[in-house]
Amino acid sequence: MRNPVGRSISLAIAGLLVATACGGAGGGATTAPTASGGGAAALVAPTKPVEFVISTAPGGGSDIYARKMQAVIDTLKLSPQPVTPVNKDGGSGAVAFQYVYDHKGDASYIMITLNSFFTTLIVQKLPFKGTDFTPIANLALDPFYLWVNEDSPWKTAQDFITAAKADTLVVAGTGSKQEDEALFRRIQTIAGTKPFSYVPQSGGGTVAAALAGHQANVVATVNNPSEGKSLYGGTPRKLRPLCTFEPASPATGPFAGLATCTSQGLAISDYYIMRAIMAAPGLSAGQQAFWVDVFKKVSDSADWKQFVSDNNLNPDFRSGADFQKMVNDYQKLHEDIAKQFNWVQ
Amino acid sequence: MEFFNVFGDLAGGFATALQPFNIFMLFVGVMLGLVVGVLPGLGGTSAVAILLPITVIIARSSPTSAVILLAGVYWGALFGGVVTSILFNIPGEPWSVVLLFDGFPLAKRKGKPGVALASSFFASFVGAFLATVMFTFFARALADFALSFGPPELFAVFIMSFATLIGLGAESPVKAVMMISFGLLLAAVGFDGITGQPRLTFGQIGILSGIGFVPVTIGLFGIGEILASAEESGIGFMERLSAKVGFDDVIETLGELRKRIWLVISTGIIGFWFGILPGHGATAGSFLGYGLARQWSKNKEGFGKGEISGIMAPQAAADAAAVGSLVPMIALGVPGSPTSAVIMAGLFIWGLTPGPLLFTEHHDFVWGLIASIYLGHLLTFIICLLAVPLLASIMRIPYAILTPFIVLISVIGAYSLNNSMLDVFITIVFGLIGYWLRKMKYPLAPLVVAVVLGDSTERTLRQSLIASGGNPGILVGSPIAATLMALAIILLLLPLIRTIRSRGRHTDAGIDKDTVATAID
Amino acid sequence: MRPYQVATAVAFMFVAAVAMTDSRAGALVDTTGTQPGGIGAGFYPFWSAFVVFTCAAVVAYRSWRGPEGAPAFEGREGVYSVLKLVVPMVVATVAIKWFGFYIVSGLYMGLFARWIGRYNWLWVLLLTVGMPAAIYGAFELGFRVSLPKSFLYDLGVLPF
Repeated sequence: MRNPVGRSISLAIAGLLVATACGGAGGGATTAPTASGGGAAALVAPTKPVEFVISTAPGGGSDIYARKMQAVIDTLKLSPQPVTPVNKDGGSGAVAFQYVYDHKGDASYIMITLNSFFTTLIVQKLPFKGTDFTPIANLALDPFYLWVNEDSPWKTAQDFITAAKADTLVVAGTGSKQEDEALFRRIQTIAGTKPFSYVPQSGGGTVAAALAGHQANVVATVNNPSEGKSLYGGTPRKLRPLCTFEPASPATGPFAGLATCTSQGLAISDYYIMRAIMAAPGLSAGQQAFWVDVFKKVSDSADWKQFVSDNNLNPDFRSGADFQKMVNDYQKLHEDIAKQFNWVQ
Repeated sequence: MEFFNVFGDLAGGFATALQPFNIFMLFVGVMLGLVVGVLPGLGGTSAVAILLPITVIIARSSPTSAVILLAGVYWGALFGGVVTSILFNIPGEPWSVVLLFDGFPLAKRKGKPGVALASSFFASFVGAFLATVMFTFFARALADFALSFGPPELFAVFIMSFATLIGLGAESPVKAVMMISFGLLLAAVGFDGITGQPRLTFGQIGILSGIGFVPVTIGLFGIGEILASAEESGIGFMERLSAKVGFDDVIETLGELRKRIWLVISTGIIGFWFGILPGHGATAGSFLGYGLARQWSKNKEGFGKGEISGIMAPQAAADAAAVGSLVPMIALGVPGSPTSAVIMAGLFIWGLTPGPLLFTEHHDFVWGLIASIYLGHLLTFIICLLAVPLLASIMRIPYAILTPFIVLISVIGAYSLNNSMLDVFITIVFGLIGYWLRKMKYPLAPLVVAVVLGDSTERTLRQSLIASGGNPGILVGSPIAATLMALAIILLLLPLIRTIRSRGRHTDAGIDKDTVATAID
Repeated sequence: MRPYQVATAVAFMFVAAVAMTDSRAGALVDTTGTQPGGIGAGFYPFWSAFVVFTCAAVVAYRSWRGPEGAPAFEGREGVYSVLKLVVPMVVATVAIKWFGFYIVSGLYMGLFARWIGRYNWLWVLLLTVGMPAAIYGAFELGFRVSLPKSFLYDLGVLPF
């Protein structure tokens, strides 16, 4: 009885889709594929509906990015098969990795990855390695800022460091033994502060809320700009970034001109969350090239560019050897932290 | 001043929400929400997630229409989700778990599915209406206050929920304590978010996601009930239903609502407040609503056997909490529930930044949404009441069709949560366990409460201890936490004192010690 | 009733003992400062399991010393009724791995219609085909939710 309702909506939507695709998609869809990934291999498209696996719950950080990418793929009709987001959260990504790993050679399984692709694989005992998966591409880098409450007396990273040398500070971040904690442990090592009391939270939003509400004595976080923006923007302002862990200050947007942490004596400028795509192990060069091509087009679309700038991401498309190098560097960096702080059981 | 501005803003919001296209979106959203709410495994969260790609297109011309569609789905799913709880003993959403305790018994054992459904719809509507009024006037102030609820305060809230539910369905206190602890143990299985270590997984990666309460409750209640009733009445028996299924049930329920209106109002307010708290506030709120209704009731014995207060109180709290969960999303950019987290993801994808700026930069959007909450609930409520006779007659479907159908939707519900066959096996295994435990006279309600709330309770406790460097003093360190904890202890001791008084000198000291031990867990 | 009560309680004791063994490392409050907040991953499961174990022991002892009570099963009829439900349910669940949800659910509905309901074959056929078709329409087509597929899907023979 209710099906016709759904049917007519999907029809209406299909109409809309065609209209928009014809209207505004020209720029992105016609971009030439770059020579990367499988080199000159012919593109081999998947033959079954595609599962776009997400390692967080709906609404979580990488979930938003994956759904945005999926929306672009859908609108621009970049894949002959429907691409459906599938949430497989659990074990800081381990459940999602296992699921994709189990579909060896199947081009219908791709996943969005972040730094848990390194931390989780290093910290937990899992029967596979990061290199088992077929690398596709990195689309963007999500920077970290050092945040304090608006009423905090600290004005620069140096103030924060001085305080952290005197007392054990309570800080919050997403998850345990993942990127946020990794960054705090690096600060601890580089600046020689007392060990932070790190309170793991379930997501970026709750981390920002903990800081804004003075919850459980939390005095600092390393939220991404998109996570802290809401509580920074309103009146009265609740959060304040001290500095960014990027090599240069952001040039545009609400955080334009924010000092770099390096300039304030906290020399970390090479740490981001990657927003990258990996595929099931053992794809052929042609299958790999297909996905590299799809995500290159996503990355070039006006829609994605707008999204990237709205959320203060750094656009950073890499595939092939370039992507591989980044993966290797991050692997090394996280292995060192894990070793230093006894994360491996 | 600001108070009067609100009326002007709200009028503007209604003007937006009443535009024909927005009304159409609301209707479509509500209908879709009702369908996915009734379908197992597809709660509001997944339905909203599934619709996100479509809203991207709508949002290009009008983000307000897009958010009205998604919010419509949310309300529809809230109302629809209770249907499977009441008719099949299968929970749709975390906060409809508590409806298993009285909703299903009223529908089946007392043969009044129409009254059970109508009770939940009436309570939902009253709770949601109250909540929306509070949302309209106090959203920003409340959201700011909610920010100060950190791990110690939340821990006290969870302890309060447990405290009101002590002794639930317990003939033997020892067994009740045992079931609570067993539930806490099950909740601990899987990946430990605080240390990043696997617990009780025995090397199985699939179990890292933990033993979810949805497969467990579907098994214990849905499947377990089918097996238990097959043994009592023999396979192929027919349900005995009240002779007529019609709108008389609705009229009857209206009378029941009038008797309990203050209960519904007060649990609605509590629920709204819980919804504002980020995290699993709504679930805790629904349990606390149930627990308070039971403690305040003169008819304690009737709870668990189909008491109408046991449906209305938690349902009013749950729906008010759902409305409340939009408050921190809109006002702070912090989601209050899983479904509002996905709606918030939608905002990001459409290019809006949720948070205080919305009120100034996207004035029409916020007030259009608020107005659509009023309209959406009214619409959902009317549709649901009209559907009561139809839904109630589902229980007249012959056994040979209904029983395998319930098993199938249990399987779908368990599977589609995480696309995991492991969850299906967990459901079946807990179905057998549930059947057996019923037979051995173990209470199942405490087990379910512990499985649902165990995770959050442990997490907030440990987060608090990390922040204080291991000093438990932090649990009563802030005025709010201390007050809540004191309330929890009073709630805990009340029934104990009553029991001791009524039992007089015959009190079994050993039993009371067990009951106290529960609080410490 | 008595032997079953005792056996159930002992089973709980066994499960609790396994859990306690598995999480024994974190049983005590950590004073060395290696665990965040002084409580390790094992603390909570260990003590939950401990309470289960203790309570189960009390229940086992009480049932053992207590009266026999009513018989656990009310005649063979009841047991057979339960088994008639359990066996097809377990078989169907396991079969989903190979035959997928749709084939299994059709056969499962058909089995009940014929065996328990004693419907005529037309109705049986209708349920066998209609139920999975309706679910396929709602889930795979309507909401793009994927349910488990059969080996024939992997081979590319069937769409489900």
